[in-house]
Amino acid sequence: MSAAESRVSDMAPGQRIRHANRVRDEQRAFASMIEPLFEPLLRYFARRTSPREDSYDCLSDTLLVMWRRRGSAPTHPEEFRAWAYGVARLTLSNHMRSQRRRARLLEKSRNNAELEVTVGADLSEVAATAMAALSAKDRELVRLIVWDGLGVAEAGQVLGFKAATARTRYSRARERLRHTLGESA
Amino acid sequence: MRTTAKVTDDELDAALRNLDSDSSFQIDQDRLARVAATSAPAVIPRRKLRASALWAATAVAAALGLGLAAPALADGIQQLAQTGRYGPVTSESDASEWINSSGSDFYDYAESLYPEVLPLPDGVSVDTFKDESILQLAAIEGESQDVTLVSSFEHNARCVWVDEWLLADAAKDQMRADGAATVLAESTTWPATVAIAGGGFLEHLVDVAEAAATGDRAALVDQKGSDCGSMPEGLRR
Repeated sequence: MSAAESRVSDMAPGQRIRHANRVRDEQRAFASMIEPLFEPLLRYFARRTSPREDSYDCLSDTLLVMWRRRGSAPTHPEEFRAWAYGVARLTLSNHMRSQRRRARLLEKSRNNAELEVTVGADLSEVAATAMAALSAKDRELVRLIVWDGLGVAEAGQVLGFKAATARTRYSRARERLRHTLGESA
Repeated sequence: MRTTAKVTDDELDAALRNLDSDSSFQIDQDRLARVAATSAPAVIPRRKLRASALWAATAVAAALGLGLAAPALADGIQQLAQTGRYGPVTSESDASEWINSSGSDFYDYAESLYPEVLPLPDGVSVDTFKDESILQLAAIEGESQDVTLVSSFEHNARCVWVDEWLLADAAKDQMRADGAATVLAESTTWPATVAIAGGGFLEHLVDVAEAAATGDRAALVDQKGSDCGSMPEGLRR
């Protein structure tokens, strides 16, 4: 007998319906937590994918993973958001990998999407250069905070930093950006 | 000697925000709703999403708890699954009764609708399959018709057989794959499936059955991916 059988079949009818109701309540609660993140996550991907149409697929993959892993999702809203962006980050990473594979197959010497976004958006060259000079993680930390609106600790959690580490790195990154921008002024 | 100008926090933030390409990105709300409907509420059978845009909207609303159904307890009176309302007859519904998944007897009522004959592959427990399918249905808030509940059992069984065919094909077990292909062909005549298979869905199922019969693995993989994402897990012993 499988675990699923013993879990449900052995229950009395009353228990089973309560179990079904509890499952539904959990799913509703989870759905109510992810719904406000649909648009922010879509924008997160739109900022980082090229073509931007890919952002919908990335969001779809992210939602599926989140739904499958909902049992391990944090319940505190801020921790939940960081968790969701963490899942999104992994999805994006997979997407970029497969995109690079495709690019190699097509023998296109395309740079990664983040550069395309940068170039295609009528940007301040200096700021773009300054951002490019940061380490990948510091750059993403800055983006998560300034573009995606996450808190410093929250963004740090997405990237696997402790809150204090995130604050230090963010502060240093800003100082470096400020310095580069100041030099060009 | 080179000097650097003082850049304020506001100036720095403004420069960084200027790098954000988001302002030129317009969200396609219909597409976003479709993504949400097909990805977030994994309990919603995808076949229904494909068959009806209305269902898709309902599924999203249901998953988000937007209250399409009355609560299980209204004014202290316990609700039952059966609503006493029927129909209307369309290509995707029939004259059967509307059933409230919040009803206190929903589990037992849904169990009473389980088809007398619904083949499952060896290794798949009927009890587990039935229980998981009913739990899935109970998680969909709102009302569904009898025929929809039965077709969900049939839909899940069909997905199990698609899975069976893929496993057999991977194991190069032709006899087992042929058996699965035969059931998939028969599944196009299952009563609830036929009753509400509007929008060319029955023709699609026939194509899937033919693909199984001719060994078209890619078509079966596609079918599993597109229509069976909500299949209950852990069904095999």
